[in-house]
Amino acid sequence: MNALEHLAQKPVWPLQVGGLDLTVTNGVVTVWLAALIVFGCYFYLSRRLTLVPGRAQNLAEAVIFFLRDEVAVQIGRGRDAWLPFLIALFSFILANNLLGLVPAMSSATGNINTTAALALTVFVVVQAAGIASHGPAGYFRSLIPPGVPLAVAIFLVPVEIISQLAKPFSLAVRLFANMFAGHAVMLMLLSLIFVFKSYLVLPLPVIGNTLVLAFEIFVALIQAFIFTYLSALYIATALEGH
Amino acid sequence: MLEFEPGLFIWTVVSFGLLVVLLYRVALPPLLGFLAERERLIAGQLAEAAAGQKQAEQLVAEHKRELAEVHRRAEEIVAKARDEGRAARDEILARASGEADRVLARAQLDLERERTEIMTRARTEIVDLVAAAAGKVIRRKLSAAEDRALIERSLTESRG
Repeated sequence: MNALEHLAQKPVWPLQVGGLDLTVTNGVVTVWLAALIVFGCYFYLSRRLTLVPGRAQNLAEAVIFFLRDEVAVQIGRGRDAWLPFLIALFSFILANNLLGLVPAMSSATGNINTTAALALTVFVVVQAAGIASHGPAGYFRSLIPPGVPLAVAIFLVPVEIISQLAKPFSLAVRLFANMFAGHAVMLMLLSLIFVFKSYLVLPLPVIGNTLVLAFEIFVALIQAFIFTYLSALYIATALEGH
Repeated sequence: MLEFEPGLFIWTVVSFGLLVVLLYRVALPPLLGFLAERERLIAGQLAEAAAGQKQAEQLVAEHKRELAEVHRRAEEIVAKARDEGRAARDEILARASGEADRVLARAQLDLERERTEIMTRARTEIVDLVAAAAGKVIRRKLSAAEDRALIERSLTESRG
């Protein structure tokens, strides 16, 4: 038996739309739940704002100020306009990462499809921001550093295109690999019980998984931050050009 | 996990897109607006506090300057009063000393005049007495012992 099969998506509601498989899996449910939790938290807080913040408002303010001053600050002048997008991205990824640690919940960010979807969304947003900032031709020209001879530019254009495509790829793979690795380690530790079929090995998965779970909470935070930070960096680069 | 699952992929895009729209339109504007407003409020209050502190420091400095000026003027007044007091004392002493000298000189002068007057009067009386005595001597032709007794009687009478 392959322990990693537990991480595979399980269909909840089979759905076909125009030949496209839009089956709702347990991963999709996690994604919906994460979106609902994030929206619900911010909506709830936005209706109960007090001058002296309570615990929940304090936490939300800490997240918002951190994202504004440490992440969105790279964008410069347009920082405030991009802040809601970055808050949404960070909160959504964090919620998915943490929901994946809840027993019986599916880890959506431990699946490449979720991380690829987020990375592709960021890629589209980055390209749209670049085109909106420089115009289509201007944005294409901004991919080549100024003063580069034409002969070099011919080689630079495909390199730059590959570089642009590599960014979402690296975003998707980094988040997926980090989250998947944590779940895989926890599953491997648990599977020791079944491999040895003895209670004597019980302390190892229990203590090991407790430690890994604590570490996974840290990883969930760090990976959400890295994904958001790099997205802000790509947006800033697209807005400024070379 | 690594297979392409269009359901999860598309639902993620849709869910995230919807979340972004809802946060942009509904949840975050009041929250971000409130935080920005509070930051402006705090910044304003901090600026006011800084201005107040600066004003207070200026007032303290001004007060200290005024206090120092008052001290300086008070010292000047005290010194001036002391000098004036000394001068008045010296003047009074000098005046008193002069007055005393004048009184003493006048007293001496009066004394001298009195003495001279007494001497003159005494001399005149002695002469008169001697003359009277001499007259008596001449008229009665007295003996030497009588002359003497007569003169002594005349002197005794003049004393009496």
